[in-house]
Amino acid sequence: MKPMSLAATGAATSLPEALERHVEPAPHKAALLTVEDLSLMRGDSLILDNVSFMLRRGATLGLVGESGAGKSTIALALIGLLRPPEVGLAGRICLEQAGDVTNATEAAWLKLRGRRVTMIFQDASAALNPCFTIGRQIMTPLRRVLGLGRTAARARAIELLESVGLNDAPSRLAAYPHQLSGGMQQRVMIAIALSSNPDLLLADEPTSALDVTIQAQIIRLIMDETRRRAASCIFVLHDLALASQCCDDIVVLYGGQVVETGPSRVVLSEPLHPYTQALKACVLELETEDLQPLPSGAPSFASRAPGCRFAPRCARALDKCASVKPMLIETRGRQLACWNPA
Amino acid sequence: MVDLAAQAPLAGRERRTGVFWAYARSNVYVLFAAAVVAMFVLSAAFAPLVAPYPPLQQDMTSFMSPPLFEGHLLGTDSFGRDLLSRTIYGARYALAIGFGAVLIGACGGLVVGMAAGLSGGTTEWALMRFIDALLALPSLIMAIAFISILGQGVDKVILAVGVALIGPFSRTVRADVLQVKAQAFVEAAGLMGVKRLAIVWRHILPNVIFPLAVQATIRVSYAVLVSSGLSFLGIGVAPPTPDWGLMIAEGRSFVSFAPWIAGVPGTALAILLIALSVVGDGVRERFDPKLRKPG
Amino acid sequence: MLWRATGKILQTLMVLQIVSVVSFTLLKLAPGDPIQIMLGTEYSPEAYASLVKQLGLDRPVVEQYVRWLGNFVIGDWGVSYVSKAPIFQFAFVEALPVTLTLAASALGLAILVGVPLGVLSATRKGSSWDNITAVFTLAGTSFPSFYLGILLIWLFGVKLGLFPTMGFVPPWQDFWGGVAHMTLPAVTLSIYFLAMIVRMTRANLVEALEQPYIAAARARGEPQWRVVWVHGLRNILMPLVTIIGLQLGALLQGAVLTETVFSLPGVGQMITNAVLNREYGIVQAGVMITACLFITTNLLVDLAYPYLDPRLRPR
Repeated sequence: MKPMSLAATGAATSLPEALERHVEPAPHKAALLTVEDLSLMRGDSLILDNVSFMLRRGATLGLVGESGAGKSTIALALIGLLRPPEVGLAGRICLEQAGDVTNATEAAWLKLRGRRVTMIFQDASAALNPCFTIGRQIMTPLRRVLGLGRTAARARAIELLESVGLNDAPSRLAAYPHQLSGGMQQRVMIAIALSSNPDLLLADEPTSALDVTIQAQIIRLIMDETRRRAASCIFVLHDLALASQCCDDIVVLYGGQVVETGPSRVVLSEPLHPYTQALKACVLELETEDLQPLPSGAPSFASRAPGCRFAPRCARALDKCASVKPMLIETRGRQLACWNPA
Repeated sequence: MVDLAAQAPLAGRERRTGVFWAYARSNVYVLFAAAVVAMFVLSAAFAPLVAPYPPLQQDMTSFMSPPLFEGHLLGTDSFGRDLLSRTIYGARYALAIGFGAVLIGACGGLVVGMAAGLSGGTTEWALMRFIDALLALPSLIMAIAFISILGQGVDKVILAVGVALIGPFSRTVRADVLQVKAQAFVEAAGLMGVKRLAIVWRHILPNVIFPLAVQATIRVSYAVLVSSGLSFLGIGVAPPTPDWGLMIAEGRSFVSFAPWIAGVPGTALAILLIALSVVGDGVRERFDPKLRKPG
Repeated sequence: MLWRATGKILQTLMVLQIVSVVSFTLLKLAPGDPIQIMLGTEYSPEAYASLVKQLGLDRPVVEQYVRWLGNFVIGDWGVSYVSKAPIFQFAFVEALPVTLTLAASALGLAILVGVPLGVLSATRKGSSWDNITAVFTLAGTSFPSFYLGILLIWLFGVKLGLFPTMGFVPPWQDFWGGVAHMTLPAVTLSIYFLAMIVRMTRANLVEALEQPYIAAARARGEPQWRVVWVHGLRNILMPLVTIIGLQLGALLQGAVLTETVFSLPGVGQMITNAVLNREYGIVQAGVMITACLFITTNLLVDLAYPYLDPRLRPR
């Protein structure tokens, strides 16, 4: 595929521009996924602390935060790969038509994974089995999950590969993952993830391992394909600008706690939480003149640490911030958890 | 970046062992094994004081008596010789042969390995094929071949097993030499005009000797195994030497009605080998830098 | 890829060549005068001289080597002093199949039992099962095989009377008899390998199961057992085969000892008797057979790599 210029892909080149061109949310307003007060403990660490958000059918949600904020953990919990007894789960994850899946058994999850809920991973080269051909990795789910026969599966596989933009699909089927470029590998992953027409697609930093020029193509591809199937998508991102381009709603995470969540246009045009403001200020614009970095420091995941985990780094912290955890309250069109918003 | 894969463990039973207890527990085994080895070494060293009877003394009145019978704690063999004493003296032979053979093998391996690692071009290629040829034969068989030329006896066994170990040692030495050679400080020394021989002596050799010593410790149990095997086959030390392999072979014919004749030396050999293995593993885990996992 | 294979084969031939030189030197270094041994105690100088000429021992050493090598390749390995039988006959035709049967049975047993046990240990990492297995594998890799054989003879042969304790019955003549006679020897020989395979399988599988493609497979809805046995196992095939290849020498070595314990007329017993009888020709034949076996199997393992790990295939 010819590399396209960033502008030609239709990607916005700055955050304000991106905010202007927000995507209209899909007409369905029903909730596909509701997460209520989800807490996750691993050993002595409270990795997720009362995470709550809602995902509508056909909408795109962005989970945004720094490394280690718990975004990938949420994604793994949503597909049932992080469950008791390895971790402790509290709260509720409700999936439409399946109900409360927080404590679902492995057998129940097997009916959901790869069918209604699928996932794309960050490093496609590591997420594809190096010892099996691409064809086998695509066709196995088609045959096992959708019950297709061999010829039908092969035809469908070729169709899928072509729909994600891979030409010469038949020879790609016979190739091994290491013979494809990073971008092509990720397209294969997307093809596999979409092959069962899932209701929910989880994309864990799908473009972090790719070149910038390819990133835009891949994001566009994911969005087009999910829209076509009226599926919902949750993006795990650390790039605020990217989130603004492709997500209807946004959840800002710090240290496993939700600090601000709501429609991305609202949250990003006028962030109220100090952390969100700081994140926005960190985004490099093409015309940025001075960088405003956050003070350094990592959040503590100690299970008994009360209060807001951002307090140690917050310029607006009050005394009670460190001892009492703020609740998510509806404020000016979004949910905000802060004692002292700007 | 968060290690995604490690966050999604298998559904299934992964019981969590406390890190501290696992460390302490594995160390306990190593220490215990080291104590066992020490016990063997001490009784071997002080054999004349520890053993109740001279190892070669025959007593036909109480031959083939079972353990705990009439003053023979572990019984006697077909010639009436006390098994406990013979086993204790056997430790002498086992350990002496084991260490002696490893010494020869390590020294020979050092020379060949260094030559192979430091030379280049055709010489290196030829030496590599030579090492391949050395490694083409399992140690026991090569030792057998050498014994056929040298004849039987303790010193010949040490030599034969030692020479058979040169192959494996030279391979590890060569790998180490190549690794050290590739490091920047060696190149820097060369660029600064330090003479080649001095580089070898001062930089490469010390970095090769230490891993070699670790390997040698690990291989002692292997040397003991091979030499006992030789004696068991009847082509190692000559009777009536109280070598465990030989004693096991002698006791084999009587296994149906006097199993202790083979059982006592066999158990002693097994215990020593297992203890040496555990110690070897512990040494390797502690000292072999290649095995250290990051973090 | 063909180019690479040819290169490897040539290299192997080179190594075999060196082994043959070493073997030949061995024969030459052996004490004792083969002519004297062959002629017996009384002989005339003329008989001596004529035999020397007949055997070509008056020719230069290099020429002797070439002649010997030529003979070796076509199967003329000389004659035993003691039995006057051609060495090729009882070494290659009679003894080798015995050793190969023993080695193959032991290896097959070790793989069939060891791999599942290793998988079990890996998936139940840290459990008491895993710890007990770790203890047994440690004991298994260091236990002297010849003593183990005697223990098995004592337990199963003498006390329980379940299996025959000595002798070889060719399975291609009498299958169940052959199996019965091969059971204890194969088990004895396999223990070391079993322990090694369990350890290696566990270590490699634990590492493989931490890879992202395993999580991705689970995310696609593959059940646990498939993820472990299809995805996990396929990816550890290469390191496993490598280890087995490296340990083949230990297999042959163990076979020598096991044959003696169970009185199996294989190559190992043949060599041992030859040393005692000062039959250097047989020792040499045994050495060559063993070396060739080992080198060939290593070559096969080497050539198999691209099939085991697609990343090693030429793009």
